Amino acid sequence: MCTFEQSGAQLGIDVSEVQEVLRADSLGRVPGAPRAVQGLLNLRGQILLALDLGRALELPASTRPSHERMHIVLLDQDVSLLVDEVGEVVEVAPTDRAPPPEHLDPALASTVQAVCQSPLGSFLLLSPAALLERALGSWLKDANNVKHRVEVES
Amino acid sequence: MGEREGAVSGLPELPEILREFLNEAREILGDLEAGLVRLEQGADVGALDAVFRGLHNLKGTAGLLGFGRLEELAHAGEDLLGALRAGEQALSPAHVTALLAALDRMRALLLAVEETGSDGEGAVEVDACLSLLRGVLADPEQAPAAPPAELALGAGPAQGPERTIRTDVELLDSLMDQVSELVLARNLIHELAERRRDPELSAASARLGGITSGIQENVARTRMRPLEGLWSRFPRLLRDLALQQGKQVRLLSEGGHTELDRGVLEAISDPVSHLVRNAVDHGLEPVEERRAAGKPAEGTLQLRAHQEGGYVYVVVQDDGRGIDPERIAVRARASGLLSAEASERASKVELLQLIFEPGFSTADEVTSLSGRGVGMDVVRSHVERIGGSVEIASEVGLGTTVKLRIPLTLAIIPALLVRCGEQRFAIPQTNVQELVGLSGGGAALERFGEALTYRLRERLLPAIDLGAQLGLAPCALGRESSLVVVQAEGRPVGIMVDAVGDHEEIVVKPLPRHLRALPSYSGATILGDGDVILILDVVGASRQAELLRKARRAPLSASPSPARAEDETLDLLLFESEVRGRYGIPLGSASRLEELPREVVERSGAQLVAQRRGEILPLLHFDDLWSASPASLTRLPELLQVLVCATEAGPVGLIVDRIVDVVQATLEVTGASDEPCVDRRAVVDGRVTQILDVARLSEALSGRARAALPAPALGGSPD
Repeated sequence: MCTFEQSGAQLGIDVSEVQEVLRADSLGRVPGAPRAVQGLLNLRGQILLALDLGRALELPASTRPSHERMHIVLLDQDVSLLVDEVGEVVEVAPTDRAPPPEHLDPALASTVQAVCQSPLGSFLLLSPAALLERALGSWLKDANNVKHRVEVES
Repeated sequence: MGEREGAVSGLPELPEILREFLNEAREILGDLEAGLVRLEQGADVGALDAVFRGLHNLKGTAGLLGFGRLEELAHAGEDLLGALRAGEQALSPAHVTALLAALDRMRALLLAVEETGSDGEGAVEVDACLSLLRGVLADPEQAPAAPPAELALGAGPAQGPERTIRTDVELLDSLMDQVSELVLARNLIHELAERRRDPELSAASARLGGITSGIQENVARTRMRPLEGLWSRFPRLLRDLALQQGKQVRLLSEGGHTELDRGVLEAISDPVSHLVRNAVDHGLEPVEERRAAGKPAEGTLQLRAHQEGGYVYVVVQDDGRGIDPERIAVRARASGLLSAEASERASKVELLQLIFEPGFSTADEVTSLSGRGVGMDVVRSHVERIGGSVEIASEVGLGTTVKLRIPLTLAIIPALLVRCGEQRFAIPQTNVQELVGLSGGGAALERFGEALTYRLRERLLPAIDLGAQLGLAPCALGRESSLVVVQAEGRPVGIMVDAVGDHEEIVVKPLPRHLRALPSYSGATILGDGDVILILDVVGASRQAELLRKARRAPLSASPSPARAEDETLDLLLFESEVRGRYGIPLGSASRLEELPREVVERSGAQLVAQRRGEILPLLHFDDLWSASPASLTRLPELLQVLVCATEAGPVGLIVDRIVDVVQATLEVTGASDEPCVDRRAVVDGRVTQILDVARLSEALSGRARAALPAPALGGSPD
C-alpha cells in the first residue's frame, strides 16, 4: 500500500495502481472543468489530469501551494492525484484490514475500501475507480449530455 | 490468381502488394545467403529452420502472384534444404553451390519482376539452375562442387539498388516522439532569440527552424500509409459473411489511396471493420427480403474516403434495411436508457444517437462475428480517442451511412497563441481567417442582450467573449485586445481575447480521457517553456456559445427539431415592434446599431433623416412600413434604436422599438408573405419571426421619397 496525507487525513491506495510519484512545478489550468480538477500535468510529454484529492474528497482545503504537493500518478488512467504528503509504502496483512466504519463522512464512504492497520498507524484505503467516479462521474454525465446537445442541435 | 497481364513499370507505380513482396523476398534471400555461408563454416543445421520457412513462404507468395518460374526455383531449393534439415543428406560444398546459384537466379527474377511486372520467359534463364538443384538432390556425390560456367556466381544481372527498406515501427514511433521534442526545443530557442535580439542567434535559430520543419515533414511522411491496406481485408471478410448468412454483397470502394498516419490508421482499423460487419450482419437484408422490397438481390456496401483540411473522412454506407427509430425507442425504454415520455418526445435523429450509448444494440440475434455486446459505443470511443467523431444517418428501407471524421495526424500543427487574463490558449491556424485589433476602444463591438457582435467592413459578425464563455473574467477592452476571426461551420465568428501572441508549431496531445466532454477544447499542447495549454475547438466553442444563449433565453424550451438539409441556417438580429411582434433581419445585412437622440431627427419631405458626421442618413420607422406617411416626430421616444442597414442605395436607418438578441436560427423557406419587405419566416424559440429583406426595405424607402414628389413623376412607383 502506498500511504499519503491530505488535509490531515491518513490515506492509502494499492501500490499496484500507482505508476509513479512526483512533484511538479506548474499545472495548466482548465476553465470549465469540475472543481476537483487542479489542472493538466506534463509527464514527459504525456498530458495527465491532476485531481486535487482534498477537493475530490471534500476535505478541508489544502494549505500548501500546489508546487509543494505531490502527484501520485495512477496506472493506466491518465490521472494524477495531488496530495499534501506522500508517506511510506507499507505491507498490510489481510488480518489488518477491516471494512470501513459506518459513521464515515458520506464523501469518503463511497471511496473508502477498507481501514488498514500498519506499524506506522492506521489509514483509509481508497479505491481509485470510486474516487474518479465520485470526483468526475456526475459532471462527466452532464458534460457529455451538453456536448452531445452541442453536437446534435447545432 | 493467373498470369499477370501487362507490364508494371518503375517502382513507384508498383502495387503495394508487389512492393511488399519484393522487399520481403529480398530479405529472405539475404538471410538464406548468410545462413548458407555460416552453415558451410560449421554452424548447426537447425540454424536453417528460419531460412527454410522463409523460402517456403516465398514459394507460396510467388505462386499466388503468378510468378511460376520463381515458384519453381524456390520449390527446388526448398526440397534441397528440406533434405539437409531432415538429415537425409550431409552438407557438402555441392549443396551450398547449388543453393547459392538458385539464390542468384531468384534475385535476377525479382529484378525482372520489379522492372517489368513479370518473371516471364526470356528475361532470366532458370533451367540450368533447376537441373543443378535436382541433380544435387538426386545424388550429392556426383554433383560438381564448383558451379558450371553458365551458373558462375554473380553471372546473373546485378541486383538493382534497393529503393525501399523495411524498418521497425517502434523506431518510427520513437523518431516521431523525438521530432516532437525537437520542435518544442526549436520553439524555445526561437523564443530566446526573439527576446535577446541577437542577430546571430536569430539567424541560427531561423536555420534550425527550417531544418526542423523539414525533418518533421519527412518523418510525418514516413508514417503515412494508404487506407488501401485496411480496405484490402474487406473483400474476403464480406465474402465469408455473405456466404454464411445467405446474402449477396457487392463492395464498392473509392479513395483507398488516401493516406493517414500509421497510428491513426491502426486506431481506426477495428472501428471500420466493425462498421463493415455491422452493415452486412444487420444492415443488408437476405436476398429474398430484398427482392420482396423491390431492391436488387445484391446488396451494396460502399467504402469511401477523402481528405479535407486536416481531416480524413471515411464513409461506410449500405443500401440495406436501415435503422428503425421505433425499434431503438423500444429497446431504449426496455433497457432504461429513456423514459417512455422521453422516447415519445425524442426526434429521429436523437433516437439514432442512442445506438452510441454503452451496451446498446438493436440486433435481435447474436451472430458469430458481430453483435456480441460490443457495439457502436466502442466504435465511437475508439474514434474519439484519437480526436475524431462519428455521425450516423439512416433511412428505413434505404440504408445506413456512417461517417467518421479522423484527424490526418496526431502530430504537429501551426497554431496561434492567444491570452485571456492569465490563461493562454492555442487556436489552430487552419481555423483563423483574420486578426482584428480592438485597441481603438472597440466601438465596433456591440452587445445585444447576451449576444456580442462585431462590425467588420460594414457587416456584423457574431462574436464570443472567450473569457466570459469559459467562466474566466470577461475580456476587458485594452490596448492588446483582439478579435480572432475564425471559420466555424462555414461562417465567420469573432473570438474576443485579451491579447494575441505568437504563431507556433504545436504538438497536439489528446486531452485526458475525462476532459474530452468539454466541448470547447480539442486537445492540449506543451509549450517551449514547459507550460501545458489547451487547444481551442472553434466549432465546439461557437456551438456552445449559441447553446448557452439559447439556454438563458428559454430555459424551459423543449429541444428543437433537428434541421432538415434543405433548411438554411442564418444569424439573425431579432427586434420587436410593440404593435407588430417579432421580426428579424439577417445579421450580415445590418452594418451597425446606433442610438440617436430624437433631436437629430428631421423631417425632409415625406422622409425622416438624421444628420450625423456630416452625412444624411435616411430613416424609416419600422411601423411606418404599414402606413402611408411617416410617424410624427413627437411620437418618437427620446432615444431611438436605429439599425443601420447597408443597401445598394446606401445606408438606411431602421427605427425599431427594441433590439432583442442575435441568434442562430434555422429558416424554413416559405412562400411570399403579405407583409411588406418580409420574404421568409422562421420559428425562433417557438415564436414565429418574420425575416425582412433589406433590399426591399430600400425600395420601400425610395418609393416613399418618390411618392412625395409632384404627381407626374409618380409613374412606376413600387407597390
